[in-house]
Amino acid sequence: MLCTNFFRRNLAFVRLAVITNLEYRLNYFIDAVLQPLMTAGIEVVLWIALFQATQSQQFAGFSRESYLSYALWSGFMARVSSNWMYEFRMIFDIESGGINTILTRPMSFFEYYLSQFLGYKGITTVISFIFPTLLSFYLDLPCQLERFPLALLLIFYYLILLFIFSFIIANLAFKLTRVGSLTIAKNFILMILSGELFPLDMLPSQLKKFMLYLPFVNGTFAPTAFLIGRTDVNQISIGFVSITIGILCLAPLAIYSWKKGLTNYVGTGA
Amino acid sequence: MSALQALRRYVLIYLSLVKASLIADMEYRSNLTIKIFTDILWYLGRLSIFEVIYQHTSSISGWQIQHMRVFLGIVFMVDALSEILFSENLEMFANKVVRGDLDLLLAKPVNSQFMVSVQKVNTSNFFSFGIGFIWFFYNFLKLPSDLNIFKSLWLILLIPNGVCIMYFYRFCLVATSLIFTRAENLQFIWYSLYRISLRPDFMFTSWFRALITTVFPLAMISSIPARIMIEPLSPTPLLGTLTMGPLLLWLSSRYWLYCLSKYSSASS
Repeated sequence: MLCTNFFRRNLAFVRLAVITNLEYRLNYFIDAVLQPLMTAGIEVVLWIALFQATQSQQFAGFSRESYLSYALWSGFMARVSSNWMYEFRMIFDIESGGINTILTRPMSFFEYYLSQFLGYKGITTVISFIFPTLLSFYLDLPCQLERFPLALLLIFYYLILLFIFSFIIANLAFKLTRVGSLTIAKNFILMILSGELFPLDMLPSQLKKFMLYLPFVNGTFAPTAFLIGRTDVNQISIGFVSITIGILCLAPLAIYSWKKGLTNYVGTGA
Repeated sequence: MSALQALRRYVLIYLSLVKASLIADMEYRSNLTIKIFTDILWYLGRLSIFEVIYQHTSSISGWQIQHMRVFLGIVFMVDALSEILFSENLEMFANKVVRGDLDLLLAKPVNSQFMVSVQKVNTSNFFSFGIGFIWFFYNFLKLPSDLNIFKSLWLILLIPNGVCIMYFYRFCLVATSLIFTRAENLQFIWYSLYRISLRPDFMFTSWFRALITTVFPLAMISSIPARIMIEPLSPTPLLGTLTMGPLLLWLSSRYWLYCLSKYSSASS
């Protein structure tokens, strides 16, 4: 009974996220399709020009097609594996006192936003990943579609870690009130560490080795590189392990920050 | 009211806005400190791209890493100025439309575009501008050629000009939310477009380069100013760039009036 209620409740949150985001279709289309498509397009144009300018067949051991495919897929992967909107919403709820409506209902703040976050990312994945798939075929770029489910599984597992991270930052709003800049800082750090800016296998070998063991590479680099054949399944296994370690480290911190935050909270916004 | 009096009035209003923003920012000091830290991170991110690329090649179309660092210095200065002046306001614009806050601004006896664009001054970016300035001159002076340091004086015009071009794109995208009501994600288009101006124009293919130096003059934000600094001075790109800023600024005001004519008031 308890389990059924939990499942139904969270399914309702997922539906809520899908309905809310699809309500303004133009807005959603820009977010899920146009923006990543433009980003990928610009990166593709850049890599084409870079290969032309350097007049080489390979760059850091990989072919032109490999970079084009990475540029194409990483834009979409990065869009799915980032958290801006729901983190800002959580912060705003705590800052403004909007959290009161959640606290007085038989659900937790964490599950309410986690389910919405995953629902939103789920629908975004379904809609937006059609485009790089079609473009990969059209441009004949390396893409091993049979690897797609595993890459996707890794991303969604990473999303749980990312959400816990967001939850901790949002909890800081109980104490500091304004923490929006922390979200931006966190996302910039993740942008660098995840491989969104450039493929991490271009880094010097020692640094690369270190970076590939961090859980953050599972946001963009690991799934993209696996999908296009730049890495093997071994990197994915490392990814699952590193995310699990990350979750185990962050979960106690999340629980502590939530309890501490609620103790400080006076019910009228932070 | 003469033009000079109007200008004085707007300068005084702007100074009041700076003061109010500084007070507001200083209220949350930790947030302000993190903002500064975030800007440094952003700069490091931008630098890392080229530092990594240049690990694998010594030159791209004749530009070495030092040239790229000069280019990035200009990128940082233009970016910091745009952040100081209008970024935060334009990010919040769509919310103002949805919540009806825009109506209050429209009712004030000042130019509505001015108020919408510069009401909140991002004071943390004064520090970032300083970093960009130092970074630029440190690397500019290290360039391995017989550069004329006085050429850098052109930046006094070129950087505000780049800011105007940037403003045009961002402003027009967010002003469009007056027509569509809920379209705050339109500004994300800018973040994609902005990636173009974060790279020197010669890194792109010829057709794309032609596009970003003429119809969509994104290269005039930082790339052409950087080339003016690094390469021998040529009047055509200089004049073209200096004309584009004021022209786009004027166009933005026309577009604002057009969008306002489609606006159907609060929470519509």
